[in-house]
Amino acid sequence: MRSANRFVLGAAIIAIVAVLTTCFVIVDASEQVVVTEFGKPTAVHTQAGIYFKLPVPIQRVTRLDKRLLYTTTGENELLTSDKKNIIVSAYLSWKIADALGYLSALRTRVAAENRLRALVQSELGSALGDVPFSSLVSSDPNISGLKALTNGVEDRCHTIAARDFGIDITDLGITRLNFPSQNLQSVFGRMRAERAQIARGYRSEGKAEAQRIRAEADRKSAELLAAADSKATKLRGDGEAEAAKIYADAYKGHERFYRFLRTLETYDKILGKQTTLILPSDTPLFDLLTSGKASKNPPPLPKPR
Amino acid sequence: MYLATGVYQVQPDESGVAFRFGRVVGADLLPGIHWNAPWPIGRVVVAKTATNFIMPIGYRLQPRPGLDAISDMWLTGDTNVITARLIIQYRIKSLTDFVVNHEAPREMVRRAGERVFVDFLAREGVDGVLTTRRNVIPKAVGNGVQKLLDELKVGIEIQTVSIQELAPPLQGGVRDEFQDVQNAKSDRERLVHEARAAAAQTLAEAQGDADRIHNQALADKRKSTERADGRGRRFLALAAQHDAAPKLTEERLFLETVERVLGRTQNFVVEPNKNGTIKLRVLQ
Repeated sequence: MRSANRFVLGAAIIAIVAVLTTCFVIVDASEQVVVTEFGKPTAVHTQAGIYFKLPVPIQRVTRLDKRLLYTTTGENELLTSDKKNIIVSAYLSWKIADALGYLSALRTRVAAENRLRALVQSELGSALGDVPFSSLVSSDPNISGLKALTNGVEDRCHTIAARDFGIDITDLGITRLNFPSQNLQSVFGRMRAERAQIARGYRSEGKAEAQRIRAEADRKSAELLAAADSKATKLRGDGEAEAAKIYADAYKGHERFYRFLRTLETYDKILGKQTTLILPSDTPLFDLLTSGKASKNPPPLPKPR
Repeated sequence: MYLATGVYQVQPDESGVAFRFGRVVGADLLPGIHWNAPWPIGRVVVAKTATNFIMPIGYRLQPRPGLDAISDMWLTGDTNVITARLIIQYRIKSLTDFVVNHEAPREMVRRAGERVFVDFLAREGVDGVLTTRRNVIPKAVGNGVQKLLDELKVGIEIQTVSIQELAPPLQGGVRDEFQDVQNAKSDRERLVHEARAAAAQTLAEAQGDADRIHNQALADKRKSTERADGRGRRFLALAAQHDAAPKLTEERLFLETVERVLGRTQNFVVEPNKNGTIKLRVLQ
């Protein structure tokens, strides 16, 4: 009987210790705890520390994360207002701001993520449906509206999540923006055509420039030669003028003798090998030949005209 | 004995965080020997923080089944598509923030990187991204990511961002066409260079011709004057002789000429009639 009593005592002590340990709840810095009494929430501990509560059958705890949580939406194929298909992925950083609201609306993390994904997808879809593709991306930074669109979606998601789910969305970002893979081939085709055009442009630019350079060189060299020719003509003219002056100076005062000499030169020039001369025998030249006496007459002088 | 289990060590390349009853009681602990109340009162997290970690953007270092594939194709502001892969190196600046504030700080580096890069590219043209703006990317992405991570207080510091790949897509022959644009550019340079060389040669030749023409003209001029000079002198010499003995000089000159002329012509000497006329009958 004593041993039976001892057993009962031991069991009672163990039971009491077990119950006592459930009278405390340790809340970690990375979590928050909701205490429920028979399923009804009585306290929310968001600060780290140790808290007292009633033992287990009466009060139970639900531990929730206090850190920022992270969810990605995966790839969504969406339409812009000008009916262009684009692939958009986004991520969310969020935290449980209102533990009770969160628990009553969603209960589990999986449910929360599903609801958040659906929310972001629908908000992204409607935001993109309002803008043309060209206003989304642009090499002009003033036009590119991606940032503004992201901020708008974040604001709306933030409001709805806070109101309906007790969730605080702290950050929303678009991590992928591209054409769907079935459209990529035509995008590549367009890019190829664009590049080919640019390449053609460079080549014809090069040809045109080369032609211009060559033509300019031809023109310059023609100008150079023309200038040289004109200068040469002038030089020759100068030479001739100088020569004429020299002749004039030399002949001055000897005009008659010049004419005489010049006429002789002319004879010398115009009477060649093909010329046949018929000379009368009484030419003074032959006087000596026919009479043995030198002519009294001097050779006939060319008469000046 | 129980209390002794609370002793732990933080290695030189590590940092630690100590919790007691869930509260942080030792934040960003330095290397050395430490004590904290043992379980279940206390809890300790020790992790390497001196190491640089790597987060790839646009691909996974080790693709595993179950993880979604990450595309390395990105859209630029002028609606071209490029392939790009970046690597972000980061370190844990505050282990406490790293452990306490965010569920997946490392994934946040990836997503922030993707987000900042998508946003950067959406405002750029493909030509700029591939050439002059290429150098801007590491800094722009690094700063953007750091700003986002600081707002979330995840205790991460971005060390460097480096470009692993940044090129036109290999698919669909696009990269070849981009290469051809480069070729076309150098073709243009080559054509212009060739033309310049040819132009220089043309001009040099023309200059040579012009010099030759000039020299020829100078020579001609000199020849005219020299000849005039020579002939003038010769004439004056003859004129001087003539002045001394006019008749004799004229006769001598006449005879010399006659001699030269009759020496080469065919000559017929005929007897004139009394009245001084000559009858010629041409025989055929």
